[in-house]
Amino acid sequence: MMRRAPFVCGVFVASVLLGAAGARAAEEPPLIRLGYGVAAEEQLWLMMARPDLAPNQGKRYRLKPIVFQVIPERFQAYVAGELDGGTAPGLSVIFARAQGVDVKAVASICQEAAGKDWFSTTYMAKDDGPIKTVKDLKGGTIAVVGIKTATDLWARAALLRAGLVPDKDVKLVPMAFPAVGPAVRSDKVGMGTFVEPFYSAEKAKGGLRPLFTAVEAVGYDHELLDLFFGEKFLKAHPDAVRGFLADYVAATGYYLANREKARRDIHKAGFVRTPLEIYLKNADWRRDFHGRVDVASLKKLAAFMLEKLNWLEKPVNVDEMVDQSFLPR
Amino acid sequence: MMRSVRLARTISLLALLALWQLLSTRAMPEYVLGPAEILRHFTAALVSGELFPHIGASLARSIPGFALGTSVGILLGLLAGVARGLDELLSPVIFLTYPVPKIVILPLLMLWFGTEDLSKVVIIALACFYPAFINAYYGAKATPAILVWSGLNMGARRWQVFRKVVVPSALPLIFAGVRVSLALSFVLLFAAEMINARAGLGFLIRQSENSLRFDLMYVSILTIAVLGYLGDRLLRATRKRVVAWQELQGA
Amino acid sequence: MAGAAGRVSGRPRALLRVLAGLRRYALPALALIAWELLARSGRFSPILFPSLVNIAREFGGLVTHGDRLAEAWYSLYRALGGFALAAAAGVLIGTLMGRSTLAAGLFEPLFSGTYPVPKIALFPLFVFVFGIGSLSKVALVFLECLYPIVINTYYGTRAVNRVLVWSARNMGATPGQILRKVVVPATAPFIFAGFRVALPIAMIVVIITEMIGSADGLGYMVIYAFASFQTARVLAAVVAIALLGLALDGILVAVRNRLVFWEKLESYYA
Repeated sequence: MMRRAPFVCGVFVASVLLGAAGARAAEEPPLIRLGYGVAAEEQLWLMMARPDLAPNQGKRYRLKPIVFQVIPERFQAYVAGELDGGTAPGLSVIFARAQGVDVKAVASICQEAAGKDWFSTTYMAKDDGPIKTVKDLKGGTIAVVGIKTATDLWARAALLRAGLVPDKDVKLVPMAFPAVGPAVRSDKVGMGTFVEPFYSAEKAKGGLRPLFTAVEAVGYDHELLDLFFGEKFLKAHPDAVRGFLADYVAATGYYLANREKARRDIHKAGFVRTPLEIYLKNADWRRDFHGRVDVASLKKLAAFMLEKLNWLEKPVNVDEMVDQSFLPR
Repeated sequence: MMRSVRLARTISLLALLALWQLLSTRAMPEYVLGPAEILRHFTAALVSGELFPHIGASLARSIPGFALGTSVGILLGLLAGVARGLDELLSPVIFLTYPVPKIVILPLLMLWFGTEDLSKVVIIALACFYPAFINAYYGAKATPAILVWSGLNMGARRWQVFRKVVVPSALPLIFAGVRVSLALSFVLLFAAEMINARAGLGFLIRQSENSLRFDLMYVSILTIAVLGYLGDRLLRATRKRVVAWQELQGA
Repeated sequence: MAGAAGRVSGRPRALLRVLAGLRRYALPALALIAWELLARSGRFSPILFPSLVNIAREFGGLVTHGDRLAEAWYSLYRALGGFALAAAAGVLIGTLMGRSTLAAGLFEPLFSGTYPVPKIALFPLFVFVFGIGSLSKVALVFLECLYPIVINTYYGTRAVNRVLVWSARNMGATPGQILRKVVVPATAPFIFAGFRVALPIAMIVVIITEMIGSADGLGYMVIYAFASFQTARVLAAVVAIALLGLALDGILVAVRNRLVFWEKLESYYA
């Protein structure tokens, strides 16, 4: 009888602790594991650099941001159950949905738009190299940032416009954003994809010549980066998502109104490695004040992916894919 | 005789290093660094402490993977070497899948086990399993029958014969297999880290490649080399103590 | 099966024997069935567990589509190219080391000292030196395959029975004849042992390098299919890689058995 006492005590203590932990977990707001990237995601970086701009954090949701270098990894991590949501090009979300990944786009981060006010992802080659037009790329390689992502699509669109066949006439090599500049300069690849802040950094170094932009390649303004969440998470924790998006839109508003200050904060927090002076002068993508998604452009991209690129086997219902009901009114 | 051989070795090594250093001082592309420069960067990186988190991250993946794969491999290999039933069950599959580069399964493992450490530990374990199994298997099979018979004759039970005769006699081959497993664990570790990781020495090499930081690249390579060398030395020392009765011929 | 003294005869015995013979297929068959059941159970997304039928279909597509077959060809010629170079250089260096103590003293510390270093770490450097195409991969394959070939050739050359060499010399053979008729055949088994280790290494290195940074090849196909969520295609590529490795080993064993006809090798994969 005496020998059992410690055991019984142990069980009792364990159950008390477990109960307490369970109660505490029930009290704590849901955790959002968010996969984010290294380019163009200023509003999110701001939210992380300036928690004071995100008042709901800790109350309606908790945020665990995880950085990914490339887009496909984010979806893989989602399928593996490591993420609840993340950032990705709208067209990548279309593609993922077509493959059966159950995600929805809930807000817009930035868009590719023509016009001198906005930045559009630019494809550059060496100034003193043999590549003067897209046609000169025949037999060469282009550095894109991820397979089946926006940079991949734009490169292919441009190649198709120039009458070349992607993969046959020109090969596409995936590599991380920072590696593209050195790759072009050292002739590893003929042409590369440049986004801010890497674009300005490379431009400042000189020696590279832009050939086309994403908007020119596709032919119309379109949605670039969106926020996506898993369907199950949206159903299970709608309030957490709403709280998060409320903060997100607030941060977007602050960013668009106080761009320089916001960029300083972002740079100080270490999200951008480009030197500060260059970063402050960067042109920016177009960002919607309310985080609204340009659904029409996504539909056009979906059609393009289906008909010209053979990325989709059957049409994707874009309306079903975008759910903007979580954005603040 | 031994001393002069060792002297000759050190001389030839030093001569090579000197030649390398000499070449590097001439006009060379920027990715060529001399040994003196590399050493300088290496000590700086060690002192600044920026290497240790990456070393830690890499070892945290490779050691469990190596330990798991090798121990399971040795155990199953020994058992398969003595039990015909197990042999027929396991060996065909294992020998068939042996030449497959295990790294190709990494994407699948990443989907099943996540993009963090677990998938890498699993793939390292998988790769280390094979040489350990195959060598333990052949080691067990090669046990001199006469020793087994004498053991059984003297009244030992099968388990005792296994432990006291088969296992020790298979040890030299087992260690040879473990040596290959160790080398493989490094290869898989760095391959996996180069494909997808956020920390670790393989990741560091890729990052330095991305930012054209050749100093960092060479430092990572040197660190990997040192780790590989140390691991092998440790293994050799262990083997010397465990297989003390066998005369080893500097394999 | 009547007749053998004291044995139980008849159908049960024969059945047991058939079952015992099938034992080697038990594990793979079980694994495949379990997989298919899991895939069809609907509990997992097809991205995590593609059905075997889909994998088979993708594999069929792989071998029939010319452009996908071309990817396999890229991987193959890189592996074989690097291997061939390593074979030529390795046998040369190994024989040299075996015949001359000077060469041995020079090279042996180099090889045994750098053996534990994972040469794959050098690949990003190779890409800078040789570019992003096939050359950097072939160079790494060459480097990795060199070791087993050199080491095995070296030990083989050293192990040539002196008696054979002496008796040949006694019978008046010229050094050239001794080399051709005694040394080479005696070393052949060792050389082939080195080849047999190096060939899978060649495949492994090619696949790894193609997965790290490439625009073509089977390794690239794996990464590409993975990023496109086509797990069935990933596994089809894995099967293709496995079959390629098996075929190469089979060819090597066949060649060896013809050249080293006095000592047949048992194939691993009977």
